[in-house]
Amino acid sequence: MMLTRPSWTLGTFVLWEREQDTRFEFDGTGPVAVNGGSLRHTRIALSMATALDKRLDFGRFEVVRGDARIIVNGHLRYPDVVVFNHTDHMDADIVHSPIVVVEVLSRSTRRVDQYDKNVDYAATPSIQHYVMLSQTRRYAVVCSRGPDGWSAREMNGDEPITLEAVQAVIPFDEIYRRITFGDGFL
Amino acid sequence: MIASAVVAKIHNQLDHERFAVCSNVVKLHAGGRVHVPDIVVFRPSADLDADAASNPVVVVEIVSPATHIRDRFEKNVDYATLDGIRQYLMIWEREETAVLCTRTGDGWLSEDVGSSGRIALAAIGVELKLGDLYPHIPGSDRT
Repeated sequence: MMLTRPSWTLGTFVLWEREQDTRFEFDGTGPVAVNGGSLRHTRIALSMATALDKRLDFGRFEVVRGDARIIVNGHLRYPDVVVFNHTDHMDADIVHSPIVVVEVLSRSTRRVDQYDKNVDYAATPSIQHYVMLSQTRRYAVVCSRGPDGWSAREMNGDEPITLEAVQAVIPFDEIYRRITFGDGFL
Repeated sequence: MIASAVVAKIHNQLDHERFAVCSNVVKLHAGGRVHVPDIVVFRPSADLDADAASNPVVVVEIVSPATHIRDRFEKNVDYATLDGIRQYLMIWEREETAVLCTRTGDGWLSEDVGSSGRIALAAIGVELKLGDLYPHIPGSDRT
C-alpha cells in the first residue's frame, strides 16, 4: 500500500508510524504496509532465529524475529530476523546498528528483498551478513561484507551457512525443519 | 544477441546531443571493484579523450546463469553507490524477464517489467519493449 502525501522524510515517517496500529516500512518514497507471512514463512524465520539464538553469545548478541525496526540507508525496515549487539540497544526503540539480517523470500516481497533491501543493507556498515532464504527449496543467497566489498554467494543446502561476524555455522536441516517441499510456490 | 538488440534500440531513440551508448568497453569503479557493464549510457564530455566511465547514467546487464549472482546482488549494490547512475536494468537472457531499479534518494526502487513489457528508461528518454529484445524464431508461435 502506498499512501500519497506531499513528501515523506524518514523523520516524519518514524513519528507517523509509531501512531499506527499496523506496521509500515519506509522505502524512501512513502509508507509500505508490512503484511503477515504464511505459516511456512513464519516457520522458516522462527527456525532461523532459534538456530542463531542458540549459537550466539547471549551476553553480547540479541536475536529478534520480525518485531525490530531497523534504520538502513535512510529507510526503515522490519527484517524477518535481525541480530544486533545487545548492550548497544538496551532501551532502543529502533535498532541502529544491526549485524546480521535475514529475509525469507515470498512471492510478494522477494523483488524488494533482493534488490531494494540488499542495497540498503550493503550501505549500512554495521551489517556484515544478509541472508535471503527461499521458501520453495533448500536454497539461500548469502551476502557478506569483506575486503573486496559486498559479495554474494549462492548456497544449495549441501553445506551450512557460515556467518563469520557472529561465529555461527547453521546447517540447512535446522533452517528448514518441519518444511516439506511440494510443487508450486506456497 | 540480446545486448546488441538493446544497444540498437537505445541508439535509435537516444538524444545524441546529450548521451552516448557503448557496450563492453567502459570500466566502472564502484563499491571497491571494477566492472565492465554489458551496456552503459553516459553523458559524453567536451573532452573527447575523457573516460566514458566518468558520467554513466544508465547501466544494463544481461543476466545469464553464470553471471546472475554478480549481476543481481553485487553489481546491483556497486552501481547504487555511483550517484550519477539513475537506473540499472537487468534483462534475463534465458527468459523474457527484466527488473528495473530506479534511484530514489538514498537507494533503489525496483520494479518488475510487467505484462505490458514496457521498460521506461526515463533518465535517458528511452522506452524499450521487452519482447523486441529477444530473437524471434521464424515459424514459432511466439507472439
